[in-house]
Amino acid sequence: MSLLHLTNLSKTYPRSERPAVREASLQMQAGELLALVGESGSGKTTLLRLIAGLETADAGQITVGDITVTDGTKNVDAEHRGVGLVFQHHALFPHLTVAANIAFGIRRLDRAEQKRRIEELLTLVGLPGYERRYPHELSGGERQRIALVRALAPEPRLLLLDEPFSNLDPQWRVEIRDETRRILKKRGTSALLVTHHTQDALSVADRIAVLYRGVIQQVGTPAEIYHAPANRYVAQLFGVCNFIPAASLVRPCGTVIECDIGPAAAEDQGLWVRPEDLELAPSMAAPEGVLRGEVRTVSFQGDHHDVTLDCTLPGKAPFEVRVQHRGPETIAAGETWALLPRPRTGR
Amino acid sequence: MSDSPSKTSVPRFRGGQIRPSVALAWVPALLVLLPLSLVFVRLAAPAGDAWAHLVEVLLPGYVWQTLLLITLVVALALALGVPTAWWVATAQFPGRGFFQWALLLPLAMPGYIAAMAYGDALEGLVPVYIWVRQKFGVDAFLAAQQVARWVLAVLVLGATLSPYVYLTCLASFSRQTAGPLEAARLLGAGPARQFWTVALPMARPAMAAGASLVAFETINDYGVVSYFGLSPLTVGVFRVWLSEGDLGAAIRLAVFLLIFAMGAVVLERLQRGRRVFDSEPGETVLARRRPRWAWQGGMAILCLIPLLLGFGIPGWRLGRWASQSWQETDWTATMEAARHSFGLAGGVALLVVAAALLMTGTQRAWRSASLRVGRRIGLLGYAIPSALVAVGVGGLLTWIATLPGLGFAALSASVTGLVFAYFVRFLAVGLQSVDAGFKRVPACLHEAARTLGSKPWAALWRIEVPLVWPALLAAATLTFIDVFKELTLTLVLRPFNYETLATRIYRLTDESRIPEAATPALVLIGLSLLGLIPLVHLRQPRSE
Repeated sequence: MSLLHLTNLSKTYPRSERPAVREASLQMQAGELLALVGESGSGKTTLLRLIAGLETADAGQITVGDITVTDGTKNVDAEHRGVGLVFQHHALFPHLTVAANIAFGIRRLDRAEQKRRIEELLTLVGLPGYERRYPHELSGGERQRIALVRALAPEPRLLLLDEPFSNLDPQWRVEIRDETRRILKKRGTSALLVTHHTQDALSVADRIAVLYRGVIQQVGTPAEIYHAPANRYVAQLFGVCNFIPAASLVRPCGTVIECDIGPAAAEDQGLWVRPEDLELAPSMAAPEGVLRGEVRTVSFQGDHHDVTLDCTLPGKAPFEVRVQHRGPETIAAGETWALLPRPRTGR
Repeated sequence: MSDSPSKTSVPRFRGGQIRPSVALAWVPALLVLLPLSLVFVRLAAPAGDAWAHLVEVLLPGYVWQTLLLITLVVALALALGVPTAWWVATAQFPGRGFFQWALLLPLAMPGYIAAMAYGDALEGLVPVYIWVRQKFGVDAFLAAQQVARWVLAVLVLGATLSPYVYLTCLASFSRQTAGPLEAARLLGAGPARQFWTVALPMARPAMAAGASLVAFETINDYGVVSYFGLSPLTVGVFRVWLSEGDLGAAIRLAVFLLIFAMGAVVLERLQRGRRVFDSEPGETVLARRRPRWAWQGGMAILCLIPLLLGFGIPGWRLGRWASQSWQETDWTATMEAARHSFGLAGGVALLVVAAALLMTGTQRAWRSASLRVGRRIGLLGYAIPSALVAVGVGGLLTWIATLPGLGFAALSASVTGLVFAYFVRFLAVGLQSVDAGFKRVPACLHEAARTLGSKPWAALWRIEVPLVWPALLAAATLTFIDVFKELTLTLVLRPFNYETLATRIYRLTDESRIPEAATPALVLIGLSLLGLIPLVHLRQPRSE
């Protein structure tokens, strides 16, 4: 049975033309780590707040476990949902110590049990002995960890994380990100994470849901989202993607490239190809009918070159293609090269 | 997907039924609306002959005097407040640190007390009047007296109210305009050009805010204008109501006051435009320039003028009278009046803080759109002229007295009525302060408490109250002082033979027993000074 079940959830803020979330449906399994990815204004935070009970939906249903918390007739208050939330700016209570912050949600336990759990959680995040400190005495990374364990302390059925890594220094970011995943997995907590950083989503989540202008575009594993994006928006969100207005790209031996994505709009008829799925071949050696382009810029990236080419096809407007060139050939601006699909290995 | 608003088949719903807490939070707002709605109900009743006579004979004079008074007082307050704020913010001169807070002192000097200290200056002018009469005739003699009274009234009001302009402009000069001013300086602009081309245009919203506060206070004043024998609308309202007993006409007249007050609000809004006034202080810390010695001396002397006019001179004279009349003071009556003042001010301060906390807290916990409307109404109280609140509450009491078994309210007023009027008038003071406190506490703290299982009231009690208590204290202090000093409402709504310090001072002054009034006046000023402490703390630029 699924842990979280959203059905046709919609929310429009007062004095706003466009719905912030529109008919969102989503299912999450117990123990799963799901990332909700979208740009700012895509409605991802609204969706999170709807699930937490901090906003009221206009329509739709939310079920957590076997309890319906929101539907047309009722709306369970945030404090009764059993859903934890880690806030973007941590929202640690500045007038309470670390221990009092963590104890806030477990007041019903007796003192000894509270103390035991606080110690256990602080050890879990590598901050034992921090009980008596105040939030202003902590570094950004430490605050993030305390915010996480404070939300974990009442053992919520579902943990929500709102942009949990966006306020961290780049050097801490990766470390905290990996640690968060480790802690959540270790405790078997189900978590829904909101982020606009695709890298966070790709590296932390079991599955990813992409949100654009309030509508869920695609739900899938990181690999599915990256290699088989549902549409142009998803494709471009997760990295550079070339649009080639041709029905297929043909290798001399006849392999047709498979990275076409759909459903595309009428004017989109063509192929979407990631730069690493293309390779360059000398123009002279390539047969007639193969796509060719004139090199505009080349930049060295260590293990490959990023090459940008200007291409034309009969009857189409000129377009630009970017290629990750990994071969030994030297490429220079102004030269003409043929573009071929790179054979896929190990996908 | 399209951008059109969703037309879902599922019926829309909100949080469900009306919450009792949200309904409770509306009570203070409704209390504020009550006297106002009574005024408008009475307005619908047909006007009598007295009103027709009033419109024809007296109204133009009242309106003209009100307009003239507001214009002159605001002009003087701007002239005293803006340059001093500019120098204190941008220049280094002897005594700057002292003036920075000392220029607020006139706020602690109630107008009617300063008026009494200046009042006998009129007597000093007698030789001048005689000379004018001999030289230019009777008409000139009467005009000279009139002019002298106006000059003193404007001087007293302008000098005691100028700190409102000083405060708002100081904040603007030292926070908002610091960056652009540095830029102007690096681009070669001297102090004068910086002031006229950068600081002044940027400070316009601040000046408008300060000026509108000055205008409100001028509209509300009764003590100063009646002491100097001026006849603006406020005086007219009470004359019609209390001397001629015509409540209907008084209400109509008070509505004209409301128009003036709303005009001040609208002008201020227009000036402010879309700017957010309470912006966080910028990164730039203004480096103060050090002008030449002559200039520095000039600045110090010019900063001394508003301080002396609004605080030093009246304070000094009161001190002298008090030391002379120490033995003659009727201590029993004074202590009795002080006890009333403390009781009223303390009680109203508690009520106002409780109401403000209720309104702001429920807004934080439930974020209902209706609560925002309620809070707006609560803030409205400050813009409702005292005379209008007085006639509204007075009318309400008169009406209640007609109900069976409630005749005792007919004794023109009761302490309850007075407390009610104070509450209406000063709820905004507490609300603004509590609001500012809540704004400094991010809403996500409350949400965090809720997701950790706290019920709304528990979350407010455990998170917000410990974090905003300085603001609650400031709200209580400011309300306390405002009630303590209040004269206009107290004078007309107090029960028979019931005196507060303010009314006692006013009555003694009215009976020309000025030296006797000096001691209670000093007590009142001392207490008002306490009220400045949170103000100085809250308004201190962070760069200091």
